[in-house]
Amino acid sequence: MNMNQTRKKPAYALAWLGISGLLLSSLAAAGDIVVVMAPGASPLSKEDVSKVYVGRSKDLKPIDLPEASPLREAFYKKATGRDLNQIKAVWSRLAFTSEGTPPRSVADDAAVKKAVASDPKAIGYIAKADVDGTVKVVLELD
Amino acid sequence: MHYRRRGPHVSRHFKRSMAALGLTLVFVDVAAADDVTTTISGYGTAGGSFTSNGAYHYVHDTTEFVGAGNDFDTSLDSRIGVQAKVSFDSHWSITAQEVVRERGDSTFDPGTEWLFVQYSPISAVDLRVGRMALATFLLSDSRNVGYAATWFHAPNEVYSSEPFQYIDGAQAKWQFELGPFDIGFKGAYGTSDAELELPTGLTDAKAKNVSSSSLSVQWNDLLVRAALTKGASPFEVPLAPEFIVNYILKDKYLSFGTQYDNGTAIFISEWSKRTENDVPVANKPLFASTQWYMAGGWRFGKLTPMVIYGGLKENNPLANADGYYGTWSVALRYDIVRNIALKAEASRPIAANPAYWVTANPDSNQRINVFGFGADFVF
Repeated sequence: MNMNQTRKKPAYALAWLGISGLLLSSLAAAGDIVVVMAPGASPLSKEDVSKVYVGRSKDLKPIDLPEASPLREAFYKKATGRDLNQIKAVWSRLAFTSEGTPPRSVADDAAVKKAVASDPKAIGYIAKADVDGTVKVVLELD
Repeated sequence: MHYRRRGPHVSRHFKRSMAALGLTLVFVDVAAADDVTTTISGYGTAGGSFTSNGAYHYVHDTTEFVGAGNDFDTSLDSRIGVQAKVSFDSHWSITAQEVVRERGDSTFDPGTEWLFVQYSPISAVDLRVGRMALATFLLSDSRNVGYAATWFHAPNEVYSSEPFQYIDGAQAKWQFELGPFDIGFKGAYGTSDAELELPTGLTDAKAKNVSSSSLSVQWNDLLVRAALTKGASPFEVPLAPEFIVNYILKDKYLSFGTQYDNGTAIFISEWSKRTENDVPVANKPLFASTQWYMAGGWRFGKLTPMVIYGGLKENNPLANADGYYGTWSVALRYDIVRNIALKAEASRPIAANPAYWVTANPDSNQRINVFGFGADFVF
């Protein structure tokens, strides 16, 4: 029995190390997300951004990354507190009662910047590392 | 006395469907040629229900008159809806939604649930003309979209009580922010129709002066809504054999709904009171009731269990005996993959509860189990 327990301990330790590592890396990835608009836009609160992405505010035009993008999942979790299944359910209700149109998806961060730079009402999210002079960071999600 | 809606005339619905399809195709063509954007999307449910006692047949509401009995019946819950939205610019759009589902009898028929032109002079205001869902209750307009809900069956107590499901007319909506609150006013006016199976035979019930107005207030994760829906429809009520009185049913629903969803915890509750003018001679309303439910759920990752309690109190109506009926339900949603949610639900209404059965037994307090299973999806 004792032998078994001592043998298991390193395995548990390794597992926990692995889980902690995953958590840390996902937190780091989430910390790298910024919400961007065209240059000249004013800063926004997390609540402002959340309202746009769950369809409660129609003042801005939200842009999404593809469904498979890990940044998309992390963005929704950070900005709205909801996972992508919940977001899908929220937009299903809005779309099929014609109360809203789900965010338009574009291919990648470069496409988000292009869409945002050309329309003062467009809003998107990208990795912080991809920020350049064509867009303005209106919210940093940490 | 059972007032049930027959299935729509297939030919009429078919014509409407074809007209909508034709309209859609025309605009799809335009979309290809110009700066117009067209979005086609859809939803559906593949599933069914059965009861623990073959003598009682479960239905969602009074517009269905063939219910699910002892055998797993897939026709009651299964449906598919396709929506086309054509946006001409940021102001003008046309939306059409066709839904194929069991209507009244046991056949699947297409029907136009939504078909309207929308003009939005500013983003806060929507003006619509055409056919829209009649939003008597909090979730009336998305009742067909199972994927948007946690439960499999919308609570029968509230959702079975309104026979009219759409309004042909005009609607205005105004939404604005007031401090931390999002305020929404919505008003609709028009007509509606439903085919009912009365003891005197099939009646094409036409509701005139249908109006529905609502005020909703959203504060963070909390939504509160109050609504008043009215309509007037003429009926011939057989008080006795060979004694039929003409009656203009003036129906009124006052309803309050609240929904809280913080991403993990879900709470939904509605309370509604249905009042009517009295039937001549009998001096009683045809239907009059107070109904409500409370539902609470918790998300454990992809799994969301929910507990629902619904109550129905009949207020001395002509059609049924007085009584109070309480029912517990448990529901489970499992988001197996993106766009598909598996659902299971069990309810335990008594045999006398008029909100659950094709034919209730007013003299029986026996509890009957209703089970529902299915997959809700969007595409």
